Amino acid sequence: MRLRPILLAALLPGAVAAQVSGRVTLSGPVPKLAARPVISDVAVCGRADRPSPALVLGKGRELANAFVWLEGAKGGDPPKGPFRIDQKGCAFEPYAQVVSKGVPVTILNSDPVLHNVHATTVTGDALFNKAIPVKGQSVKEPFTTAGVVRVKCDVHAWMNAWLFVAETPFAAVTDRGGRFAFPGVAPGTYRLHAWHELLGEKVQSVVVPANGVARADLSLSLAD
Amino acid sequence: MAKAPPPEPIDHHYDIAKLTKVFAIVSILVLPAFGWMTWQDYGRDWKSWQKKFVENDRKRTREALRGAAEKIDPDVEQKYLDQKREGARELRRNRAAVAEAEEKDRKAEGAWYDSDQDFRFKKAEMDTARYVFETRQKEDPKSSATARAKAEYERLRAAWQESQRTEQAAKKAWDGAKAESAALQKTKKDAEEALGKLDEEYDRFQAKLKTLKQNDAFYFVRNAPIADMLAPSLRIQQVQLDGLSNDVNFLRSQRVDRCVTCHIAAEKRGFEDKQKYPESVLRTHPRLDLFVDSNSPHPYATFGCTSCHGGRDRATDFMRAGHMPNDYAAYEKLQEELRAGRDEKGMPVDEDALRELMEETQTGRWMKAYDWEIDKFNDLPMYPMKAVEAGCFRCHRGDAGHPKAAKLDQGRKLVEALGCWSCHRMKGLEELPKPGPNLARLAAKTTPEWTARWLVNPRAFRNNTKMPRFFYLENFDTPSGHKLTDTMIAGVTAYLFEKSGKDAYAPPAKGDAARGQTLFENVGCQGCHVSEPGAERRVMDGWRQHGPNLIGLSEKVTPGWLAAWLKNPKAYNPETRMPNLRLADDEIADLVAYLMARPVQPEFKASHAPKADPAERDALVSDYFMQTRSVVDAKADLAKMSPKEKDVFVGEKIIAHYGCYACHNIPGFEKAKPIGVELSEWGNKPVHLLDFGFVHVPHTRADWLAQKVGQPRSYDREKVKSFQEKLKMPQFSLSPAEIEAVQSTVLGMQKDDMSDALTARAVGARGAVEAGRRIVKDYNCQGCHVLEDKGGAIREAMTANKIDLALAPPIIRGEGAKVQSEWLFSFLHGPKTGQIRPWLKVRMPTFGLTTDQINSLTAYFATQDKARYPFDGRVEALDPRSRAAGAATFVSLKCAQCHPTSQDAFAQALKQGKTPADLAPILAAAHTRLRYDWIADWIKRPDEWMPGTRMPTNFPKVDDKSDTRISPLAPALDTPAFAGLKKELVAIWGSEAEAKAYIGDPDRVTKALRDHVWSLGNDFLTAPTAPKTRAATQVASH
Repeated sequence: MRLRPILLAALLPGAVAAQVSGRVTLSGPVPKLAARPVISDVAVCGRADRPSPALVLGKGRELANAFVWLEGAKGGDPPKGPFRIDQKGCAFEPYAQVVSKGVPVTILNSDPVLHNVHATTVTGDALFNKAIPVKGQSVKEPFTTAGVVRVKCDVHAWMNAWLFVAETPFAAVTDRGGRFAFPGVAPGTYRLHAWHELLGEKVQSVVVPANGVARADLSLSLAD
Repeated sequence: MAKAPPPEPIDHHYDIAKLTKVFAIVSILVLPAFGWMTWQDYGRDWKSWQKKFVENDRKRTREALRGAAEKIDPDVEQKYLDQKREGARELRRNRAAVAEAEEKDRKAEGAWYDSDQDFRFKKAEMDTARYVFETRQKEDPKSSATARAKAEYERLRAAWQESQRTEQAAKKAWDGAKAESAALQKTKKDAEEALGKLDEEYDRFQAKLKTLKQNDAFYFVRNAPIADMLAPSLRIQQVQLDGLSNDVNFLRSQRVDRCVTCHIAAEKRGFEDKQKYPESVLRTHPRLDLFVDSNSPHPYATFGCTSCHGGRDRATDFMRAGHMPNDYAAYEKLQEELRAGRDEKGMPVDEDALRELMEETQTGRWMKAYDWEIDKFNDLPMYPMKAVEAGCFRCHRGDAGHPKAAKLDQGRKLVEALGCWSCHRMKGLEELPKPGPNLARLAAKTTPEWTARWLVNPRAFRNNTKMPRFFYLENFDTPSGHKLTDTMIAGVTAYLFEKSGKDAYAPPAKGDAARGQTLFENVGCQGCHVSEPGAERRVMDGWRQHGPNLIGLSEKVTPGWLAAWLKNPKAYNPETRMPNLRLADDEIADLVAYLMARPVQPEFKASHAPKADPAERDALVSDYFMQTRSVVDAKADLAKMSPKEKDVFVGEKIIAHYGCYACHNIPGFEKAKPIGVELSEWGNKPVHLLDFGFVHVPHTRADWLAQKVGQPRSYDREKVKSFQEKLKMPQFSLSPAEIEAVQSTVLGMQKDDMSDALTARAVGARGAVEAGRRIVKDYNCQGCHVLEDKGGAIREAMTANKIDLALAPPIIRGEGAKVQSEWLFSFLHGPKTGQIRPWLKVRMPTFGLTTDQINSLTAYFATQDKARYPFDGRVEALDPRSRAAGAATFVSLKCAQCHPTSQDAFAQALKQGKTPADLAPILAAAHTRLRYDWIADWIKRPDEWMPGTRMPTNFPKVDDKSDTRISPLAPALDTPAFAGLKKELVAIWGSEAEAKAYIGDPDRVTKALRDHVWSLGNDFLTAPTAPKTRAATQVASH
């Protein structure tokens, strides 16, 4: 599903240090997501159905857990970590995060049941699939292909998480206010991508003026 | 007057002076002739190619050398000498050290030997003393002699212990010296080897230089006119093909391929670059992996060139060799336009532009460069490159398919699927399943109206149908022809329904179309079927085009029939390849609701069933009657018939006329012979026997065929023919690419003149594989499964339907090595829903294969993986410690969280709320299904056996490049999390070191897990034959 641009970027040059910041919002109808039943290992995972974590919206429809990245931006190495995914109470924590290409991510099991960490690209190509059978055990896995990675646990069908493997420091996951910011961007024109698991990807161009702040708000929708 | 003296008596009758003159004149004449002859011979075409090649070759060598020299060093020689000197020095030093170490080693050995001797003697002395002491002790323990003996014994024992210590120290010293000497020796050997290698490289370099400096003058002289009779380097290159011969009218002559005389670079690597070597004749063969190369399956020395390419073997001249351009037909068409001054549409043409176009064609270029023209005297010219894969078919017609010859493979699929073989006999393509459905019970399935409309134009109803169009084609395109056509269609329909069985089906319960769609998308229909409306013609190959496009069914069939068909296709048509999906009645009702609601093509919806024209019908019946009876009788008999009887009579005659029964089972035609011409050796058919009619097509076999397949009735154009004489071949509506593919196949149907050794016979392992592939092809296994790394077409539909590919039918890889053939047999015989992977919605259908077919399949899988067949070795006993360690590891890794270990555990898991989708295969069945060796390999590397599997990879590779796998459990064993496992493993293996050695070795761990899995549900192993444990053995011995 390709999303077409709906809103134009509001580009407001400022007078502070060069940075790109903005907010991602949802436009159009709000998708209804069914809760996922817990059917295995209820002793550990509980019996309550799990509401889908896919859509976290703020009051003003700000979209959390969307990945935003600047294509073509150079300068600086991506953060060195440490990056960590915990499996606790039969859920991945955090649900969405940005990791750096080639830097090992520690994946921990804090539950007394077996979880497996099955990572695939967004198109379903296998990356790795490892079992972590014991509480307190962890594995370290570096991600070598940039882009969105889906992590799931085949043992517990409701468990999943998302990673964005970044090659530059200019990638972020939106917070609960839908906000993101990339400080230290060199002036120039870039393509700003936003991606959300339900709403797909959207691209718009952003111009960073010399010593200026570029603001870029994106809006994703279920349209098309 | 004085008389001239009489001439001297002559003893010969010729005049020498005159003769001398004649000789002089003749030799003057012959000299230029000789010169001309020499020049002609010297200037033969192939020589110029060889010269050009020598030039290319030299240039290439020079470049390569320059490149190499640049890469190595400017003064490679000096560097080599330096290295060598340094190496020699190093070696000398080394030698001294080695000698010294050896000396030391020898001395240390001596010292040890001495101490060892001493130790042994001391031991003997001590033993003697002990014996004395023991004897005394027994006789009289308290005597002083005993005390003395004891003291003596103790003294000797102390001395012995001392000597033992000395011996051990000496041994250690000797071991050290030995190791040191060995290490030095190895260094020495390495140094010597390196030096040798250096020498070799240097020699190679020198040889190359020498080649380069080879004398140009000598090259010129040995190839100069006349001198070249001695030992020319330019000469005809040929290969005698053993077992192959030419048929020269009642004689056979040895086949001798001389193609490489010009195509001299064909077998030499390094001349691939099209930019650098623009003449294709001087390039390397593009597929050395398959052809020409001596390591390829078709080496030049055995197959030559003409075995595959066709053409005249001995020719060394472009024309005589039988080269065929790809675009002769296109060239001729342009030529025709030029002649007529108008193009196809009647528009005047630009002559210059046209000429230019013609010159740009391959034909045009060849005409210019080689005076090429069609050779009417060459019965078997080469295959044009576009149909070159025809050559493969000559030997490979016994194979099930041609995965490495894409065009031929496509052509073969078309020839099989469209049923070309069922009207035209084709050797190698007999006994395939009939391409059309069984019509014996047509009336139960559809209506006469639908049948008649279908016959008018099958493609109007279904855009991907294999059924060709027989009616309303060009040779019947007149008003009376249309009437006759309508009469024929009405007749065929009447006959089919008259003879058809008429069972009736009760309609199914009302179903839910939406649920039906979900089922359609999930249960596996889309591996073989699409449901895509659209007037555009679909390409007929492809796995998902195996079955009909499921549109418009509401026009064709009744819900009752469809339900009965889905329930058990073989009940309606025992020969059908449509499998049984074991659908429940409510599922069938839903599917019927969905399928009956699929759209109908508008063109078909608007069509009407043609009605017989009474006058035409009477005329047709009389025609047939009058072939066997008098006019009076014929009239009388006709008058007695009802219209329906007439229709049925016409139908029977027309079905016989067009040979419909070749593809369909039709009552009354069970024993009729197909009507088409046999094509088994069509590739040898002389061109003059082909009727080109009045169609302007180049007179070549390939072009005749393309025209025939593309427009089958066109050779009737401008001809006056009776109905009986008119051409009958139907219209298949193939695309140009498909026609080319069919060309490649049919052109390759030639006399079986290849020797047995060269023909790909389907015997032995090859036969087993091809027989299996045949079934795989006929039943479209690759529509669902990835098999031999191809297929899995359903995945494309699943992706479109947004279904997780983890739920796709399994990828079949190494199945022969994986499962026991006995199990596979019973599985293929009667698969059960959810038998192996209960989480899948897609079902392995029941194909109703015969025992022979299943045996072929099991042999096919086993042969491909070189697995034991039919029985895997039975495992009689398991190593108890390995099994116990496996059980402990199994528990610790929580394998049972997903894998139920028994049917009870499975039922228990379901009771707890899990669905089959959350579970992995039940392990109690492993020992009946899987091969013993395979299980361990699967646990070790599931990611390679089945990419994307849910089974986690517990033993990752060290890195992407290596095959070595490591056990991450080894470092984990010391963590508190694994304390329990550690304790158990230590108890099983006897020590911590042993336990660690076990857990750190992926092979041992996976084998142990395998042993545990094998024992699950395996009564044979768990009961009496279980080997005794160590504890049990100890108890027994006391």
